[in-house]
Amino acid sequence: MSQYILETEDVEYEYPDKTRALQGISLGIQKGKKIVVMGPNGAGKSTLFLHFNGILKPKKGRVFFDGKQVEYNRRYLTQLRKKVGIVFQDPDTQIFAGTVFQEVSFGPMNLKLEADEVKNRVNKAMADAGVCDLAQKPTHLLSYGQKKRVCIAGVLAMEPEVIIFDEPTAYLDPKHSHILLGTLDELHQSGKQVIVSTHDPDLAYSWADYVLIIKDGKLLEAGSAEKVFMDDEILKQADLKKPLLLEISEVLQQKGIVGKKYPKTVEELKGIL
Amino acid sequence: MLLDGFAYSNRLRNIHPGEKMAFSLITMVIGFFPSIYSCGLIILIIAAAVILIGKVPVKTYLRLMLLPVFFLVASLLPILINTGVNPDSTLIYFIFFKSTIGITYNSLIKSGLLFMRSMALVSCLYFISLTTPILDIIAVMKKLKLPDILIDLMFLVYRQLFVMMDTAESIYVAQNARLGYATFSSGINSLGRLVSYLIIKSCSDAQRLYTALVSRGYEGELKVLEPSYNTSIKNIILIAAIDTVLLIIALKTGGTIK
Ligand SMILES: Nc1ncnc2c1ncn2[C@@H]1O[C@H](COP(=O)(O)OP(=O)(O)O)[C@@H](O)[C@H]1O
Ligand SMILES: [Mg+2]
Repeated sequence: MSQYILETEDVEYEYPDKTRALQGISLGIQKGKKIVVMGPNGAGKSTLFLHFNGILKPKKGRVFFDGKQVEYNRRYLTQLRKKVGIVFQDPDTQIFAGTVFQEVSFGPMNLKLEADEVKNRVNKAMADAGVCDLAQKPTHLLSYGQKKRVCIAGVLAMEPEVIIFDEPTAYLDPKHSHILLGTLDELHQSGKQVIVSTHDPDLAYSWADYVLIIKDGKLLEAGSAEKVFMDDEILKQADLKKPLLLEISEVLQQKGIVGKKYPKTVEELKGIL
Repeated sequence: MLLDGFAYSNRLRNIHPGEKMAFSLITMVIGFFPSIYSCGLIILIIAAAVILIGKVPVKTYLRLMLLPVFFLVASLLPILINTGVNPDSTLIYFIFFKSTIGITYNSLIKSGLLFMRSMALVSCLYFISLTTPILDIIAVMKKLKLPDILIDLMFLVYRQLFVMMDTAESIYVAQNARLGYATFSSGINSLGRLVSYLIIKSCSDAQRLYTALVSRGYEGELKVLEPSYNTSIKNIILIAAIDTVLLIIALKTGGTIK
């Protein structure tokens, strides 16, 4: 068994219009860690994710799932997509069905499950994503936040091992971002591998075990949240702001108010002070 | 889009869509019989079903029924009013230069009948659109084994319509806020940009939707779990009874007013 659930090795990818979105990227997603992928717009995060479930095939290099090289035949890809789910950024380009229930049933139906099993899975996924009360609502009458949760339910219903969230908090208000983070934590605790991309350093710092920073289709840096965000040079290169909490604790340390401690939440900071 | 909202919220929503469609279609066929009595009855029965049972507000329903009336009146006028009529057989007439213009007994019946028939058929259509969401209609079409590709297309077009409307609206608001529609020429310009943006966006949306569907195991068929409706013997008997009565009335009184 590999230590990595997903790995890439010198992966290069070029879009048909010759945009070189990935330029030899090598990285590993460690099993059981809360992973955040960061990087400026156009860095190649979404393109990378599409390699994780075999939608895109690298022009050069290799992709591994659980230590085994990804094959690009239909049978393998079906299995891979069952195990690696992606929640894309824009719900309007994911939702196609009429009612929430129908939408969420799409994935399990493609897994060719029995109708009863589909129903069970849909109900469970809707409960986990908090959209049970919307089951019979038409999808086009939902709010943005509701649509987002329906997309999550749609992926959960397939019961993947890995769930990738591409910029899940974009356009969400702070309250719904917070609820979403709770959902991510629950998923992590229930044993799913969660991978999130975001622009928000504060979110990344407080949530992630492990941060990967991507720039220009290459891996710029990877490591624990503290390690990555304390490296001012890397932050500058990646055009990232230092997380507020980290900044505060660094100031407090310089002034000798606290020892070498790195609180991840405001509550932890209060506890230390 | 008003209709769409009612289709989801009305009280007849949970009745088997096949039963509702059967009722609407059979009644529509009966509505073709030229009888003022059966047509009048159809209009009343459907209004009662939609308003009393479906709980669609009376005002909304009347407003919807008024829409076709405008068109109808315009097209019925030439049938109702004739020139060169024989003054003896007209109900009302006046002489304009040398010809008589008037309404005859015959033209009154003819246009009255046409009016009632049109309204009866419109009622049947409203019955379906106010009580049955498109998706249920599509589900019935699936059961009737219509080609999958046709049904999937209807499905996607219907869904994308709302996405595009949302986009169009937000762009329109943004353009308007910057006075994009202040003058006629800038309005034309803004509208052109809006349309071209919508077309480009639809293409990229389609690509993204496809990617998202493939990620969830799409292999060329949009399969979702259709809701199961219970067929109700009671409803079927009721539909059969109403339509039989209507049919008898239509056949007995068809064509004339006594
Ligand atoms: N479908 C596409 N066709 C052509 N170029 C694309 C396409 N999708 C993304 N790109 C380009 O590839 C690069 C990486 O994009 P992406 O992976 O979406 O970045 P990120 O998700 O980090 O913002 C960008 O320069 C982008 O313009
Ligand atoms: Mg992206």
